Amino acid sequence: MFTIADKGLIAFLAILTIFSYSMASGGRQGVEIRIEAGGKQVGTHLLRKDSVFDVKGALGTSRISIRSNKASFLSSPCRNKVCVHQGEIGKNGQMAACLPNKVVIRALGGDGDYDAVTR
Amino acid sequence: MTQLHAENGSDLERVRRNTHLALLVALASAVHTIEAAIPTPAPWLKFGLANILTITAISLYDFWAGLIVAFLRVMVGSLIIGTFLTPSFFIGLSGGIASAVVMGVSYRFFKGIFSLVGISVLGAYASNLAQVVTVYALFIRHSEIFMLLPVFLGFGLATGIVNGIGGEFLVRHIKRLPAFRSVV
Repeated sequence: MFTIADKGLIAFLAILTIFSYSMASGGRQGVEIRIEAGGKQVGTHLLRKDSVFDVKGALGTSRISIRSNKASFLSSPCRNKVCVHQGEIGKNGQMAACLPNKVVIRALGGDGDYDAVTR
Repeated sequence: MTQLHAENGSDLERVRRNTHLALLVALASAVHTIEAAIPTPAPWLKFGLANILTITAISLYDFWAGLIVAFLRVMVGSLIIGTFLTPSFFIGLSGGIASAVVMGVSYRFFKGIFSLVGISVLGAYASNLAQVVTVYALFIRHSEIFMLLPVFLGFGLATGIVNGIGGEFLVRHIKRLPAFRSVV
């Protein structure tokens, strides 16, 4: 039932899948954090510079910290604090969001290839 | 309207083909419907067992037969389940058509090289790729969903192999049936 070409194809696709899996889950370290409030981009911060800053959202002010190449919500004026418990993000494509406050932070590779597709 | 004049051989063949395709569409729709009730790890991961009937149509007839079975199966199946024109309908439609096209073309050109298992694996990958692209284009405009691609592809490999084996068995069985003898 399985021809030699079948086995070759399956082996090739299996390797490709494993490879793509390690690409997606491993991920590159992001370069910058992009902040969106109310669906609009309000700023970017470099991940290698430690900082703490405030972002005005729909409900109030969310405080975001960047420490050792990782960003996280310190506090947010929402009820569930899902964003705060979400922990740190830093790899390219990762994101954390405080949906009630409409604040989204996203780690990006800094190569700009995400800019064309987000909206 | 429905003229079943079967005076010469080509008419007979056409009637036979349409009857067989109707049977395959009915079977595929039934499988599609039953499959909707089978729980999977995530709602968008499905076995695509109905694709066995698409492979069978391609193997017994041609590219167009497979496309017809895939298209009508998604139409009828979604009407039965009640997902017609919902997001999952469009996702399923894109996947069904993409896999039918890829399987039909690859069957025509690589018939001797790949068995139905290889053809089916190619179809499963085409289906999953088309579904992710559809989700991206129509519903979630975030490139993060491409992070799910490895999951889709890994699952597609498994379901592709299973469906290919199923198709191989079904075709072998069908070719032994007197009603399908003219096809062989």
